[in-house]
Amino acid sequence: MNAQETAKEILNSLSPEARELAKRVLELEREYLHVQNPTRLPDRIIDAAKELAK
Amino acid sequence: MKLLKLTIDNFRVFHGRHVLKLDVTEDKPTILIFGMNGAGKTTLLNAFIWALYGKFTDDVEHQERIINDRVWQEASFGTTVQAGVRLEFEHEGAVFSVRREVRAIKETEAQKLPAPQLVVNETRQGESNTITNGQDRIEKILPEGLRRFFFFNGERMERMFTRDGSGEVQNAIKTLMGLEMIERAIDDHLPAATRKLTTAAKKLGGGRLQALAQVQEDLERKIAAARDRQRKLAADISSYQAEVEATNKALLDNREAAPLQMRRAKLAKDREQERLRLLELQERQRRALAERGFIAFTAGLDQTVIDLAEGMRRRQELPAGIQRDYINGLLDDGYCMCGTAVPPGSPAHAALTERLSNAGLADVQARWMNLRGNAARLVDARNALLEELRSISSDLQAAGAKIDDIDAEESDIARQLKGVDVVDVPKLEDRRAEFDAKRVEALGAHRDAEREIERLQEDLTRSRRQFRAAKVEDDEARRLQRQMGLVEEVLDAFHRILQVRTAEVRQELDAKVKNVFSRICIKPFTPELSSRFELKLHANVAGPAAIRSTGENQILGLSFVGAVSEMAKEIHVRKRKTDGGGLDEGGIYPVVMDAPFGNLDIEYQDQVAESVPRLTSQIVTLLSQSQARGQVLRHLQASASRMYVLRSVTSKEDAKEQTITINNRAVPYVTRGDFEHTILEEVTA
Repeated sequence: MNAQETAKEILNSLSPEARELAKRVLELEREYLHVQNPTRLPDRIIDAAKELAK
Repeated sequence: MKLLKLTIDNFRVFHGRHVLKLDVTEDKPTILIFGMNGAGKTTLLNAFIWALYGKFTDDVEHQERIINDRVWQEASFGTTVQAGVRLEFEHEGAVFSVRREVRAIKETEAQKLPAPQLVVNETRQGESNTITNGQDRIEKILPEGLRRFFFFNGERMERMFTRDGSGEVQNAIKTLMGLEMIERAIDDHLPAATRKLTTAAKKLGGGRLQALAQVQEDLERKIAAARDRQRKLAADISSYQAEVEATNKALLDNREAAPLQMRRAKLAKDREQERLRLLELQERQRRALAERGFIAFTAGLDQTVIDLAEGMRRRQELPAGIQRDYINGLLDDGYCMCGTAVPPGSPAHAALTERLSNAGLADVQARWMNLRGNAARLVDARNALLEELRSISSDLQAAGAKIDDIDAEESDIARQLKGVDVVDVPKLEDRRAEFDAKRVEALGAHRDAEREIERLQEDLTRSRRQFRAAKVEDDEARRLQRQMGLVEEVLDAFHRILQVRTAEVRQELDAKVKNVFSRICIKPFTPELSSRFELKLHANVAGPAAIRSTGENQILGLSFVGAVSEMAKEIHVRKRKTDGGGLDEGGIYPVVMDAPFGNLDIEYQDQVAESVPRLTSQIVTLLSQSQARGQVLRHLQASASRMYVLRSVTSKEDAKEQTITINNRAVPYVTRGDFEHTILEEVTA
């Protein structure tokens, strides 16, 4: 078992909503990676969390 | 990142515009650029670095002269002069154009240039946009911390690992391997989202959730304050540590230097003594010569006197010793000593009177005898003077030689002490002790803060659990509970993922460095990438640190570059092929290297030439004719998509024009022209 599988296992062990949120967070982080202090990023995470946990 | 084109305008040695096409095919990833010394290979390497980061490598002289000298000289005062570099590359499906230029109105003979301007354009799916924070974007594509591994001079490769910075390298690798985004989520954005949700919970009005939200907010504040304190303490610890290390070094230097310094002090004292002795001897010599030097000129004269006196005495030419007074007495008495009357006018009186005049010769005889005695003493005095002068001269010579010896030894000590900041050792000891005590104290405070944070985190986790488990009637409150629960679940998972991914990256990179290194190096050395991403080289597996030559440092550097490139590429391919849960990042990165064979001998050159095309998918190699011969050139040419020559144009009338053989063809390498400059020319097949 390599570390990549372990990381994947960690993701797989999450609830489906949390797994989806993790994916969205990574997408958002990638989108804003070149901005040092992205003001809107936490709000967008909250929006994603609200959408997933209605 | 795939390089497409580099356009240079009036940049340093390059007069006018020069274009370097950088596209390569998959099977031929190399671009070879040949140039003689001073033709601009280093400038070309720096054109990439300057375009991307606005900086030059340390070995570039007169970095303020960005605009080509000829262009600047020819410009009239008051006119605008400019230089620039544009780098076009492809990354993650978009084409980027990075143009850095400097534009100035000529007001002085020397170049006084304003800050260069950067314009970054991104074209994606036919739509082009100017990026406001272009430097940030470049930094995320290829972090500056890694530039020395991707744009480098082979001759200076050993410096890759000697500069400050394993932290910088670690961060840069994290960016490259996609770990930075997880870190940012953990450190900043997920906690910020949690805080906002907590604030929203407080607004729900009365009840259990509000109270718990308030508790959480307080705990968060305390944690933030403790972290701030911890950060300051960490900075203090680093600075105290640096101070202790600097003092340790100074102490070590001084301890090593102490015997030398003592010896130097002793030598200074000895030299002063010898100098005084030399002065005293010179004075004695001067005095002896001044007072008795004339004796030296009497050699022979004294012996003549002695011989003369002795001869006269032997021949009885000197009269007997009758005193004048005695004869005068006889004449006054009127009787000779035999009783004969000697009245004046008598023959006897006349005879005595004649005797009286002869009696003067007795003085002469006495004086002759005296002179003989003196002449004998003169010989002794001259011999004594000679002996004394000989002795003084010998002492003078010895004292002079001793001073010369002292000077020579002192010179040797000065050489050994060069670079040692000579200071007072006890003061240094005090300083070291003071900063070490501060460091230990700060470490203790840091640990206390760590424990405090752990305790607060436990309280926070408990409070959050209570928040999630709290029975609430209100739908909105229940939703909020679920949202916070989700965010925290992700945060916890990211913490664990970061840990395993960091270990994975280090482990994979370590294995790759070992692999590339063993392919090239003939010695049984083993490289190791530490947990802090510091690259070390062991004499054998788990053995002591290897004593590395410059060449081995270069191989180590190349191995690291190859490993990072290869791994970034693998992660990138994995991302495209499989769903890694959005965790994979990586990418394909080019390598631009000047003098790739720097200090390597022929055998290693051959190995490196064979390994270079395998380093990554695009390799721009700048080299001189002497660095590419025989087998090495064949290896490189076989993998080259494009080849260029930096043709040196010289105004020197008697300069010999030269060619370089590429693809069995003589290509102009040095030609004559109106002024000194370089022309970049592609060599076609």
